[in-house]
This record gives sequence, structure tokens and C-alpha cells, in this order.
Amino acid sequence: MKIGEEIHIILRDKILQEEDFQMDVEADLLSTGVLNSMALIRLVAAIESKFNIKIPPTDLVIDNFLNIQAIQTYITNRLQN
Amino acid sequence: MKRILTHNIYRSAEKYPSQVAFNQLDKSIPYEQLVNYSNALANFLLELGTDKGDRVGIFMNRSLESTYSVYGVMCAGAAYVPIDSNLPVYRISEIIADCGISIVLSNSSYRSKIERICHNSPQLRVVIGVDGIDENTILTYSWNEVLSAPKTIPSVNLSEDDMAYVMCTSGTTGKQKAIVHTHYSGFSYAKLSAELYDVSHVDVLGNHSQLHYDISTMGYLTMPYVGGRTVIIPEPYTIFPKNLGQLIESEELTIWYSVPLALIQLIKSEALVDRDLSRLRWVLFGGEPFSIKYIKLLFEFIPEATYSNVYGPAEVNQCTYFNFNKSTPLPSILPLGRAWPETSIVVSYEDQIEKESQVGELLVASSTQMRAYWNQPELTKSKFISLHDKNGMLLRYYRTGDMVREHADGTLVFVGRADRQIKIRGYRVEMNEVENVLLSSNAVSETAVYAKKHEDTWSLYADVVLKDKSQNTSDITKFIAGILPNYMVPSTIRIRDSIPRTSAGKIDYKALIK
Repeated sequence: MKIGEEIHIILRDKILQEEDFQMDVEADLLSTGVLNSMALIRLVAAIESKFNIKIPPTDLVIDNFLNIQAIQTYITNRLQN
Repeated sequence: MKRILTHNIYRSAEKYPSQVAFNQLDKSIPYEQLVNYSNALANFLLELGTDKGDRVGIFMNRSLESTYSVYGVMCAGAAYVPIDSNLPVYRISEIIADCGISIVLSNSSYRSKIERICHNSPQLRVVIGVDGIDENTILTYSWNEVLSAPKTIPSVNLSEDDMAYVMCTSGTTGKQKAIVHTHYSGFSYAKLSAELYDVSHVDVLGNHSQLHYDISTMGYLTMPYVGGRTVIIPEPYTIFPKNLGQLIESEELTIWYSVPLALIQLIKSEALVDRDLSRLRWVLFGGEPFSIKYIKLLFEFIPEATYSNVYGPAEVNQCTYFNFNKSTPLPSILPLGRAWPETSIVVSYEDQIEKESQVGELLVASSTQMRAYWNQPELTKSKFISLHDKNGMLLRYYRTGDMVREHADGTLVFVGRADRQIKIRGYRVEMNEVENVLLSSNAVSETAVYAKKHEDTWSLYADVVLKDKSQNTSDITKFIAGILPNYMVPSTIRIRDSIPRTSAGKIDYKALIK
């Protein structure tokens, strides 16, 4: 499964728990109330365990989490390095 | 000068027409434009039949539209009611019904939520800023349409006693309290805060607060009073402290005002390391107690600034302050400080025990206090008490429910709450309200809600006795999350066979907290 799809499933099942959750990969997650600080903490934990990576505090910036696309790019880079 | 909030933007636009009133990153609104947009919205609202004293909802994220929404509503003679966008739809519909709101101002950010709100709020007639809502009874208009309305000053005659805005907060009975502020009380806050913190048109304030939270009044009301600039911090920056630290530096903020939590996050994520924050002359915080431990860390990053512990329930805006800097000797608990001008405070002792311990309830009478709770005359009556002040004047005092100790020099120290209210992330949480909501579930027969403190933050617990044994804790969580805001949802729910009670039959909270 593609990373973007995995993130979509995490958001749907673990973070928002909305069965009919649909989100464009380029849609803003941060300005529209989808992710708040509490949800972000849960998302980071879910990504860490799913992809077996550790996300350091220095990587917790808007550019890496703005939308599903950005999260996918970040994870891809982390998995390659 | 008459204390009318809308006069402030007209005056500042005359003095500083091209000075930026509000900005969000590279988008900005100069005072001249703020006046034009506010007038256009006001004329549009009047055309829709808005009357003086009507309540108009504002349902938005942290955005520039919110700034002319606030003033446009007031210029039309109505009162703005900020609605917390994180609330469940059920609760939002309750606010719309209770406050009798027929017009809501919004933007495209929360489209799907606003559709659900429309579906659940039969009295809603108009939504501005979200187009094409599939609900026959609701008219929608885009901001473009609204802002092309005439920009002439609307002919509305406002007086100081007119309602200006309404702040909704947790109530004890399972219903919210809607705090009604007038032009007089809002303007008085703007004036007193501008004078106390020596705010002028060269100042730049970082507004971190959402509009429904009373900390927003400094950015939205005080800064237009002096002609200064308010930076409406975009949502993403409030989620990522690293970026926020960068923004504080690049916007050259001179005043910061937020709940302590936002500052704690900046410290913990090392967002202030190597930042040039020398322009910051004031760091204000309020909403809940702030631990000295973190203040000392802040001194390292922002050594030049003066700090202010701001205190006052939303019912009175602000009433006391404690100003200090790096060289002030600090006690182990930060005091609430002393009363600010136009304010009379009394510490009221219920009985001899309170008198001997010198801990009593704080009563406040001030120019900045609310008029009433909306549509709750009995509740309003119970929260005010008429007393003579030192000069023999009969004043109407608000009972804060905060227990304080008064020192000989007039300094107040917060001791605790008289009732069962706590603050979670700056939000007021009435634990009795959470209990009442739990009891409204068919699955619950008995419950006790209480809070425990871990490392400076409160966590909410609910012990429940089930009527319907097939339910589990996540069913209960789901039920309560559908009704109450997330900060009021207990983080731990425990199912038990009975709730411990005292010999008098009251819930034994002391035993539960152990």
C-alpha cells in the first residue's frame, strides 16, 4: 500500500474516527480543524509505530505536516535515509 | 469620550489610515480597509433585517475575516457571538438556539461542519462565507458579495449600554453560560489594558487566542483602540511551536498574550533558542496559574521583557495584574497581584474559619464587568451582590467563586475554587456539568467526575455505575464527546459497582482523588 493511503487510514481510523473521512492529499490539514495539537501528538505516535521510525522534535514543523502529501514526502525521505 | 467600541476603528482609521490593523503572514488589513469592510458588512446585515441587539454568530478559524466580522456586526448595532469551532455540532446548535442566532458568519475552512450545523439548527436563516449549502431554508452569500455592499457609515445609534459581544462558557447545570458584554464594558477593558501596558500605535501584538476565548479581546479590542497592529497567528503556527517561535521573531512582536500552555510548549520544544526576541517588551499570560519553574526558563530567553500575570474571569474581562521582571524577587506561587483602575475588590468571608485563615471569595465590581448572563435572570441574580465600597458607594459585585488570600499591601494570592470548577488548557470546566451530561445517558445510573493534577496539568476522571451493563468505557467516551468539547471529555473513565459517598450521602470526592 502507498504511504499516502496508509496515512489516510491512520487519520480515518485512529485520529478522527470518522468512517466517511475523505481528504485530498493536497488539502490543508492544519487550518481546517482536522488536526489540532492533541490530534498531532496521536498522529506522530501512530506514524512512528506504523513505519518504525522516530520523529525528533526538530522535525515537528508545518512543512512536514501541512497535508497528506507533505507527510508522505517526509516519511519517504526518512525511510530512505 | 463615549465608550463605544466601533468608534475606535473610525478614530484609528482617521489618524493612521494606512497603518496595518490586522495581518496574517503576508495578508494584511490597514485601518482604512478595516473600516470599509466593517461598514460594508454592517450595511449588508442591516439590509438582511438585522436589528439592534440581535446576536450574530462568528464560526471561523483564526483568520482575517474574523476581524471585520467582529466590527461589522457591532457597526450594525448587533452583538457578536464567537462559536468555538472545535465544539460538537450538538453543542453549537444549542448555542445558536439559546442565543437566538439567525445569521452566522463563516469561511470555507469548516464547510462540512457548517453544513451539519445548518441541518441541526432550524432557526438559522443566513450563512455568510460558505456558498452552496444544500439546505432549502438557508440563504448563503460569499464574502465578495458582502464586501461589495455600500461602505458608508451605517446610521445606527449605539449607546454604551448596548450589547457588544457574548462569550459562551461552561455552566454547572449542563447548559452553557453566555456572558453578555456591553460597549461600555468592552471599551473599558480596551482603555484600561492600553493604559496599564502602555500600548500605542507602534506596538505589535501576537494574538494566539481563538475569538471565543476572552484573551482575544486584547488583539481585537485594545489594539484598534490605540491604532496598533495585531498579528492573527495562523492555525498551523499554534500547532507547531517551532514555527511559532520563528513567527514571534519575524513579525517583531512587542506584546505577547496567551494562556501559559502556549509558552510552556515554546519552552519545551526549544522554539525560543537562538531567537532575537529583544523587541518583545511585554509577555502577558492568564487563564490559569503559571508555574514559577517555567517563568524562570522564560527569563533566559526573553530577559528584557516585563511579565504580567493577568487575572479576571471572562465575566469581568480583567480585574487584577501582577507585573514583574527578571530582577523581581518572586514567591513560590505567582500572586494575582492588585486591582487595576475603575475596579473595587472585596474578599468576602463566609464564616469565622475563613476569616481566621484569611481566605475568602473574591468579589469584583468594575467598569469592565458583564451586564448579565444571556437569558438566565436567576443565575445572573445569584452571581451578583450589592455592597457598599470603602467610600460608601453602592456597587454591584460579581462573585468570582475564586478563593483568595489578601496580603496587607493589597496583593491577592489565588488559593482555589469555591465550587468544582477547574481549568484545563485554559478552558473553564465545571465538573458538575460533565456529571450532568453523563447522567443524561441512558447507560449511566451514577457518576462522579473529579480531577487530578500531574505535573501542573489537570486530568479529568469519571467513575461511572452502569445501568446498561452491555456498554463499555469507549461507548461512554463516544457519547460524551458527541455533546461536550474535547477538553471536557474525561481522559479516564472507570466502571465501578458503586460511587463512594460520605455519611451524609454526598459523593466522597476526597476518597476518589486519593
